[in-house]
Amino acid sequence: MIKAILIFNNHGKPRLIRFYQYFAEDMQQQIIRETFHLVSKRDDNVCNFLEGGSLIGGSDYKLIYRHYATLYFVFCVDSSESELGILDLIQVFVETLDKCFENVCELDLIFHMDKVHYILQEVVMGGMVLETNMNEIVAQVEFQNRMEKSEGGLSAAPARAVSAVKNMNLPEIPRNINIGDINIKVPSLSPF
Amino acid sequence: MVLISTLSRYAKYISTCIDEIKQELKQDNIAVKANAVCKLTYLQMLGYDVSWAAFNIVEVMSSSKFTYKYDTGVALTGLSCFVTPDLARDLANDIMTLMSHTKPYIRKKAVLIMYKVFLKYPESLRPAFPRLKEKLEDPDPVLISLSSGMPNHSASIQKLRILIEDSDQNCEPSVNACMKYLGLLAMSKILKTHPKSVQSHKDLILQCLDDKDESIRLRALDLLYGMVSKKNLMEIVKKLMLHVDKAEGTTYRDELLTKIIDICSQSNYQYITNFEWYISILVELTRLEGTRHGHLIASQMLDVSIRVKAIRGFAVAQMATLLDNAHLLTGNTQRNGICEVLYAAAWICGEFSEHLEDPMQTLEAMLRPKVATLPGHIQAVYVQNAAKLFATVLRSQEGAQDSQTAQETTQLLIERLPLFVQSANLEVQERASCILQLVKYVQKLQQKQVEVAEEVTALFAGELNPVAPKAQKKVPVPEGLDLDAWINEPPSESESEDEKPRAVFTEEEPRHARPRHAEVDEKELARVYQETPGVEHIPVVQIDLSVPLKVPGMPMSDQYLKLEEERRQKERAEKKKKEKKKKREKRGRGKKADSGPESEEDITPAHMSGLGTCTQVSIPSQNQSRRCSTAPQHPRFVPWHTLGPHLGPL
Repeated sequence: MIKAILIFNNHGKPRLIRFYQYFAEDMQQQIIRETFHLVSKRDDNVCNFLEGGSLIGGSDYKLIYRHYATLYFVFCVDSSESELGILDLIQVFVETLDKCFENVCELDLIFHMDKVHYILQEVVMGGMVLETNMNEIVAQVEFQNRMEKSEGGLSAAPARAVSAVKNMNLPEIPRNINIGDINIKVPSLSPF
Repeated sequence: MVLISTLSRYAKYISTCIDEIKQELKQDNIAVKANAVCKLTYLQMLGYDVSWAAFNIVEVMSSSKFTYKYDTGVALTGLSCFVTPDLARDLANDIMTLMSHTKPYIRKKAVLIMYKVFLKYPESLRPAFPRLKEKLEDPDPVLISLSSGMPNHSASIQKLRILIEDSDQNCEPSVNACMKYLGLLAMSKILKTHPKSVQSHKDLILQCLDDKDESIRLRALDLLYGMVSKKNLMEIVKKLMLHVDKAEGTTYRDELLTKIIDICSQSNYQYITNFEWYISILVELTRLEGTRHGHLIASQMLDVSIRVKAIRGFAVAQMATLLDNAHLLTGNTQRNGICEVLYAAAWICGEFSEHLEDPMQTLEAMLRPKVATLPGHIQAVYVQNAAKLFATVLRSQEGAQDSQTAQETTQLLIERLPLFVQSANLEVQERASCILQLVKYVQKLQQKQVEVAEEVTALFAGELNPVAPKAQKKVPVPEGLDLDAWINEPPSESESEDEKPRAVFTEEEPRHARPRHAEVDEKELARVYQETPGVEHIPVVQIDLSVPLKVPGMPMSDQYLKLEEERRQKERAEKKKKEKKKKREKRGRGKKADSGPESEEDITPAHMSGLGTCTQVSIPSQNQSRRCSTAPQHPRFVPWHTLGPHLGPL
């Protein structure tokens, strides 16, 4: 069983975390920190399997990780999972992200976090591997996208966005924003 | 300055964002809310507490954003994460129906979730099993599959060896490392079922021990367990000790420590030929800082000292030195830290105080004020064993007709004990007060010029020995005692039948005539002493040890290695000389000749422990008698004598 999936960058900032076992928030953060600490120490030419931590309660687990440019993809698994299989799964996941996002980069993970979660849900469900075939996963994701669009229809999307903005009651935006010399007049949003 | 301002600006920005989100959540529009929840998820990932928004999150979840057809999939996904036993029980039937859903996607998810359901609610397995069976096609191919059903493992082991050894020049180094790791992992799986087939690859494993990749080293460590033998134990442990010195991280170091002790103590210390060497290894391990396994080292020291009588003198000397230098260890007072070793040291010095060279010195070391900084349980042992030492000291001082120093000793105790009487730990307090009273009484008697040493010693008379697990069986049942008889009136038949509840899954225990035998663990140790009462079959061995115990400038354990090699060479030379004569004699007596080709068996251990190694190692008796006559008797070591009839190994 997969206990957790962590994606963080070279500075330890988490980009996606998914725990399949309950941990309190501070525990979660500690796990992220410790995992980063362990993984960042690794040389580039050692194996991708890490053992011997005391993190996720108990000793029956190992960390299987891959380092892609600025991101670390870490899967924390127990002994029932095949190491090579999980290594391959990480590769499949990343390739799927690449297909869904067109040359995926760290920014995509930041700004489209929900989409990344959806993709991950198609791959791993409740800590168990659901699908390993990239084409299948991509097909499901596209099906999902179509569903979403058909909810309001393509033409309805801008309208929904506008109505959302219209109904927003944000605190008073200052009419004039003064940045030194430049005087910008903010147009008033009249309902239309 | 810049950093502080950045941080404060950062915190300010986050708090503005959170305010914004709170505003958004108050809106009616579900899309806005969903967006806000998304932001909250991001923040939660970064570590900020978002529990205040719990209701809003549930609210957004309840919106029907996706069509109903997709809902099942989402529902199943969610369920897999938070399934509880109750949920599992209630929904099991529904999920089973879903396994026959038209959409394969749903079917797949349903099957997978059944696994989770089974984990939480095992009873659901029975009804679901046939349907599950037909759904499950071939299991995922295991990439390196080594089923124990395979009769011949040498072929796969060969392949594994190649996997571990060869590094393909074209491949990335990390891929090679991965292959190495997996090869070692597979080997350790084989090791569990077929230890012999892995043994021939000892050299490769030892090589892997030196790898710079920690994961590979850990795998190799794991394999070592099955690869030690009497011959190579010392050099393997020496290698591991070198690693211990080099290892920075505490986890790896702790792992090494546990491994060293595991290897040495496995199979009832089967592979140790020289217990002095083992004690010196344990003492060297106490130099480790920040370990979490102090209790392990302590228990080993205790175990060896108790069971190997011959070693007690040496052990006591080492422990006395430890106690003297306790200031090095008192710095680390965490639970299970290295200070646990002092527990063992104090106990050993107290219990076997007759071997101490300078009991007065040790007594004084035990009662230093700094001892009060140690954990309570250790202090308690110190106090108790100080009393034992007091008895020994008194005996020697009164024996020397030196009543003056005897009284001084008593005075020392009276001065030092009150500190412990004031301890916050109850156990320490109690023991200290009892002993203080005793000592005060002794003082009164001493002032009247009464000889008290004998009586004080009598307080601690009798040896504490380990008890075999089957010892209880050996206790004879007194006459007229029927252990199976009821103590009170058995309940009447009719009553019990009415009241018996129908337990569905638990078996009904028979109410009458319960069998009395307790299930005792079949430990390998007790096997030896199982059926043999009495101790005549255990041979007596004279210890041959002419080595000085401290070689300056050299780690103590190294010299044993050298000595061992010299000893074996001597043995081999002797054997070759007497071979012809012995062959004839041996054949005549019908004894086991040369115990097989394995030179393992011919290695005579340096000490005999009370553990029945005699039955596992065949000792050519001719050699023994020869040894006895030529070797000088070391004054410190008493010949190992037999244990009592009821006592056996732990």
